[in-house]
Amino acid sequence: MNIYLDHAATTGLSDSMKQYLTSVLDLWGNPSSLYSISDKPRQIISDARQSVAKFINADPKDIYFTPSGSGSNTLAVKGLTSENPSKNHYEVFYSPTAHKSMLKACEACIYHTALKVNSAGEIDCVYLDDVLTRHNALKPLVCIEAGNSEIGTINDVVNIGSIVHGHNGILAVDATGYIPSCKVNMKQWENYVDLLTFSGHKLHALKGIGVLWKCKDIDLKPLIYGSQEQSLIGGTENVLGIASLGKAVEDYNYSSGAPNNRDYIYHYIVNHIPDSYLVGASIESGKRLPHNLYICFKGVEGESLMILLDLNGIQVSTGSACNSRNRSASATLSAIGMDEKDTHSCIRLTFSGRETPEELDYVCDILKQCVESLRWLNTK
Amino acid sequence: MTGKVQKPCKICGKMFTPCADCENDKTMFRWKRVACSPECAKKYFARIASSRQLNPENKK
Ligand SMILES: [Zn+2]
Repeated sequence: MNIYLDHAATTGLSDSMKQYLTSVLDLWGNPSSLYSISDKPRQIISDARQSVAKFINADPKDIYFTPSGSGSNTLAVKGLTSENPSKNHYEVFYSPTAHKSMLKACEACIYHTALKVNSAGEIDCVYLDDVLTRHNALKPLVCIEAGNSEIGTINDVVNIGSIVHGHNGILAVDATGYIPSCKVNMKQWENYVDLLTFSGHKLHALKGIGVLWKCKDIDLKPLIYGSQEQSLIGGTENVLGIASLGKAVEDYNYSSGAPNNRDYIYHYIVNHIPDSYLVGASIESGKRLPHNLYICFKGVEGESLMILLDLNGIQVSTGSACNSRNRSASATLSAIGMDEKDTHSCIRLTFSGRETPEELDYVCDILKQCVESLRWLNTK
Repeated sequence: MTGKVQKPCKICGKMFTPCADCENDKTMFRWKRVACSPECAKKYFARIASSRQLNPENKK
């Protein structure tokens, strides 16, 4: 039995997707050329842009294809702030639990300040309002994630957007972790969000394709110089990646099974595996991504548990990694103030919603055995 | 000086540099104390599974 419970890491391709992409492989014409073999590739890009726009209820003119979610985040932050380092007129405020691509892009800005999150990982809106009230004359750029892809906490984008716009600021939202399990509707968010990013491969598209949605009033500097994507991302278009994303979002089905399956495993853990606890927002709060379960098993190394589960055909992920030089706690776990001892004892399970009852029971059974075995090893 | 000490992998015998914090932390088992790679860690777990039944496949 093989059970993949790491859908937040990446997702696979459907058979119909593989079939479709095989047909696209024959369309090798450069989309920028005017001769007829380029017509179809150009049409594919245009259709995909329409599909992505429809997926998030936005205008296709505001959709830009990028090389990845990280590329989109970098474009959003650096595109706004890299105008002229000596005349940088933005002060960047960022979520300390943001994806590394956003975190590093923000930290590379001249004026940057980390926001605060509460113990569940939600942006502290009182602090946000306060820090924006006290900030200097520079224009604030606030960068957050809609849903944390690690611990699964959902931010109140509308409330944060109201605060940011109340201070004449710009809000950039990384929706990569959010959009696979929660629908994005830009008609509801467009008054609050100025830049939105996400990645294709989390939605059953190919790796190597990301999206930036940009409010029409925002001007960005290019991430890669050239003429494609309205000169923001130069380079001949990744037609195959774009085609895959167009089809992926057309076929995308927000599974109602994911939260049920997540809850099933969660209740088993709290009732049958002692010294374990949920990290992030509670299940009942409604502030947790519906497919995400992030659990700390005290006294169990997350990486060892991950490897042992894999040995038993179950794939999960762990947040904190260590290397030959040192252990580094995940930035998210540090930001929420988790006990350092526990930061290396966590695993993340992310569900598709298509897991069968037999598979769920198998996961429960194996998880319990593996945790017990690793705790037994502690005594040797 | 941390990170310079090398030790042999219990599975393949290759010398590797374990994480100093893993080495010092005696509160829980850490795979990098015994194996040089995740692949070797899997073999380590599989090897002791037969005695401890870490792997349910071995129960049968
Ligand atoms: Zn080895």
